[in-house]
Parts: sequence; C-alpha cells; structure tokens
Amino acid sequence: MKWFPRRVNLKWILFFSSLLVPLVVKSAFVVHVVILLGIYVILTDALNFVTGFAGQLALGIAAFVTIGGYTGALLMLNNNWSFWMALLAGGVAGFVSGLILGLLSLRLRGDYLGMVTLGFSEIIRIVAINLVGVTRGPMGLPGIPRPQIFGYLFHGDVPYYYLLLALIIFTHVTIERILFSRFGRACLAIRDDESAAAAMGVNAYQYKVLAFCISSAYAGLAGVFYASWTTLFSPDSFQLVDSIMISVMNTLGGIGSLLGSFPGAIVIGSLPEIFRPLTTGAGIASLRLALVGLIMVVLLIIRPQGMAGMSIDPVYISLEPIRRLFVRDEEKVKENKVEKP
Amino acid sequence: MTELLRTEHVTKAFGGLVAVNDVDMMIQEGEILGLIGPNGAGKTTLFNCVTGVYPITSGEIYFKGERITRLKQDSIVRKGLCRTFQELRIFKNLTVLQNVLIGMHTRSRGNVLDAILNLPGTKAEEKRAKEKALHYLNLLGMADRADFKANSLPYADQRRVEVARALAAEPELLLLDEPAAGMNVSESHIMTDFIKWLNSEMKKTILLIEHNMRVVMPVADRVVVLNMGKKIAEGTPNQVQGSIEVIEAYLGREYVAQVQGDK
Repeated sequence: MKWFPRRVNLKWILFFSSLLVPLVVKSAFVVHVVILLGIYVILTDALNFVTGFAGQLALGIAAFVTIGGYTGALLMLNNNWSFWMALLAGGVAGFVSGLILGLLSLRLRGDYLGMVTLGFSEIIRIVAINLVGVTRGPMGLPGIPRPQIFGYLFHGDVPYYYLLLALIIFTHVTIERILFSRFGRACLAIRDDESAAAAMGVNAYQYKVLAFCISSAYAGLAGVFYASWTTLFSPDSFQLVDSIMISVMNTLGGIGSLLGSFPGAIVIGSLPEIFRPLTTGAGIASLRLALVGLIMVVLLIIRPQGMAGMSIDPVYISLEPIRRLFVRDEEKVKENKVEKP
Repeated sequence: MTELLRTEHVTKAFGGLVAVNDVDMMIQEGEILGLIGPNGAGKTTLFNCVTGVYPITSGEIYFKGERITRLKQDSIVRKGLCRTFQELRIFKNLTVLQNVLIGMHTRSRGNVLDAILNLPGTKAEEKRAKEKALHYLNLLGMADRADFKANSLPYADQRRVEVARALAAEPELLLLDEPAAGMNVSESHIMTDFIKWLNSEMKKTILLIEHNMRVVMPVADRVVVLNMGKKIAEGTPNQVQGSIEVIEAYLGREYVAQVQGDK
C-alpha cells in the first residue's frame, strides 16, 4: 500500500468532484444554479485579488463585468467574432478599464477608494442604459451567440458547466502563480504595511494599479461568459447589488484566502435558492433575503475572519482513515515496526 | 575616505512647525554616524526626508555625489539606501522568509507575465532570491525560523527580521532607526555587536538613530546631535558628551552649571 497517499491537496478533491457534478446532478435547475455559483466564484476570486491580496477596498466589480460582457457581446453580434476571441477581448476590456479607473483613483485609500469604485459602477450602468445606439439601452442585447469548438455548438447547461470549470481553473492557477511570485509578494506587502513596502523599494501605486487591472480582467472574462450563457446582456445583468453580494461572499469566505471563494460563493449564492420554496407566497418574498442576512450576521459573529480565514497555504486532507481500511493487518505490523525506532 | 551622503540646508516644515531646520550633515563611506537628540528633535523626520518619504521644503540631498532630493522612495532604495523603522513595521501576516524576500524587491526581477508563465528562468530567479534571503536570515541567526509567521515571533526576533529585510536590499548606506528600541540589555548588546560587525565585515556605512546612549556611544565613529530640528553639535562621542549645548538640550539649563562645576 505504499502507493496510497497519506494526504491529498484539497484542490484535487475539489477538481475531481466538480468534474462529476453534471453526471450526478440530473436537475436542470440545480445545474443552472451551480453555473451561477461558479461565476460568483470567479468574481469573488477577482475581488479577493484586489481587496484580499493588495489590500485595496474596491466595491464596484459589477462595472467590469458589465464592460467585459458588453464588449464581448457587441463584438460577437456586430463583428461576427468567435466566442473565444470575444472572451479574450472581454478580459482585455476589463483590464483597460481597470487601468483607467485605477490610475485615476488608486492614490486614494480606504473608504474613499470604495466610494469611487462604487460611483464608477453606477456610471457604467447609467451609460449602458443611455447609450441606446450601441447597447439598445434597457432592452439589452439579445441573441448573443454560443461558443463553438471544432464544429461542436454549445447547447444546454452541461457544456457551459465544463467551460466555466476551465475558466475557474485558469483563474485559480494564474492567481496562485502570481501570488507566490515577486509581484504577489509585493502586493501582500502593500496590504500589510504600505509605507514599509515603499521603504523596501516597492512602487506601491504601480502595483496597486496592476493588481486592480488583473482583478478587472477576470471580471471582464466572467462577463463574456455570462453574456453567452444567458444569450442576453442588459444593464441589469450585473449591478450594485451583485457587487455587494460578491463583497459579502469574499468577506465570509475569507478576505486574503486562496480557496475562500468556494465556501463564500457557494454558501451565500445558494442560500436565496434554498429559501426560494419557503417564500413563494406574495408578501413574504423579502423574507428570503432577510434570512440570508441573518445567516450572514451569525457567520460573522462565529467566524469574523471568514470561513477560510486568511490562509494562502495549501490545504491538505488526511487520507489516513481510508488508508487504514485497506492496509492488511500484517502490513500494519510491518509499518509500525519501521516507524517506531 | 569618500563622502557617501550629504545633506545641504535640509529643511522640512509641516505648516508652521519646522521639524528639520537647515541641517547640514555628511556621512563618509565606511563610518558609523550616530544621530541623537531628545524626543521630537527631528531625527526620524530627517530620516524620512533622506529616504524620500517626505518631499523636503528646501535644501538638497546628495548620495555618492548624485542629487537625490526629489527622487521617489523606490529609486532611492535602488541607489543603495535602505532603512528600518523606529516602530516595528514588518509584514505581520507574511512569513519571515517572505519578509526578507520583499527586502530583495529591487534586487530581483520578475513581473506578472513571468509569474503566470512560470518559465524555468523565473523559477531559477525565485530560487536564487530564496537562497539569498536565507543567507541574510542566517547572518542574524534566524534561518531556522524562516517559515514562521512574522507576528508569531518574540519582539527582539521581529526587530531582527526588520534588519535582515533592510540588509536584503543590499544597501551601501543602512539607516537604522532605533534598532535596539524595546530590547533588554543583553539583546541590545547583541544588536550593538551586530552593528559593529555589519560595519567592519559587511562594509556597510551606517546612519544610526538611537536614544540609548549605551548603544550609540561605543559604536559611533562620529555623532550628530539634533535639537528642535537644528544641528547643535557634531564630533566624536567624547567631544559631543562634553558640549554645553548638548547637556543643555538633554538635561536643561540648570544642569549646565552643575556639570561645569563638577569639572
């Protein structure tokens, strides 16, 4: 039984179990909700990159999803771009708009930065509503094409689920690599103590702007995915409420953690759906959100640092109990003999 | 001996308060210069002016003959000037090793794209940086605690991390702002010996702010005394200890007569 690992990295468990989701779950509704949760995971990761790792309070992530979504949708509809090129363009659009806003606002700190990003988010929504010639205003853009790969056209939620899984993996792999590099360390240093980081020769402003751009690029990617998945993109697709929900997911998952986006997005994202059957009657519809609020308050009291804390270390799950089941008695004796001296 | 750092008529005013007033100071290569003065004398403000934290109101600062007056902090670090802080300012949520690696920021390479692609060149660079960081930790006897979270260490060790981090920036001139603050007698002895060792073996020029006369007097080659933002004395520790202005600044006017009487 030497080949049997003693422990396994949690991310592999997450990866293999997420591969199986569409095979196990047969309900179309549940798969639909799971895809929505997956989008929230990407957006929480994106937000966490700027708030949790670079330590800047950004609140208007919906703006970059909207910019990415419209860029991708318009390029596919008007210029016949393929989904893949549009996806890339959405990321670039997010990056560039993040650059513009970041250059202008990242000299501000704390609450002031939060206010500017919040304001920007509203500006983008209002521009999308009023720029009727381009965006068709509140009616939104319908008929956004679906992705096609080697002649296979995506239809139904299952292929979208796997596409999203690939996007989540891309997000996580790149974020992890950036985090454990010279660039990521500089961001963490700025979060912990900006003036000490500057005294060590980190150009804090430059790094904050870049972290903001990267975060916005992920949001832009998610926007294009969402546009193609729902085939409709409107100014209401992502708004202020969504920005706030994503901030909540980030807070409850663990600001500055590497895997906190999963518990954060899954718990907060699925609660309204779980409570939906309880509150179908008119008049108590808002009770659903009140319940979500209550659970948030309770979670924050029990675990203020968020479910995953601030951990960026890999999480290992011990396989010892399972191993014990398979190891034969005589092997156990042998192993103990080897281990004891 | 050549001149390493020179300040000419450096003045820093915060509104009506002149924290540093017309200070001329010069540090020669290879020496340990002590910067002393009572509380609020402007020592740390002068540090902040030299390292580019504050833009100075008037005057000029030269490093190795080059004007660095208006440079940003990161360019000044690149030129070979690095500091520690009076109050502890390590990166608390990072490991000891990561702290030192951030000190090496200006002495290593790698941008976002390198990080995402993670090519062999980037990996080798990261490995080199880690080995070097461990080397600096080893100098301070901290290599065995490299993977500890910085805020889990005792206070004296946290101060050592800060010194290791500044050393990792490979400065020619090291500015230490009260490195022995809050240490007990034996810990500050170790720090004093270490400062001497840095100067003699590592060939670092050191500008040392210190409150504790027991620390600064035995190590400093020369001492500059500030009071109310002005330079009031300069010379060897012995010369300065006998200066009437210094006694007045530290102990008050009534003690001057007493000290002179003793002599």
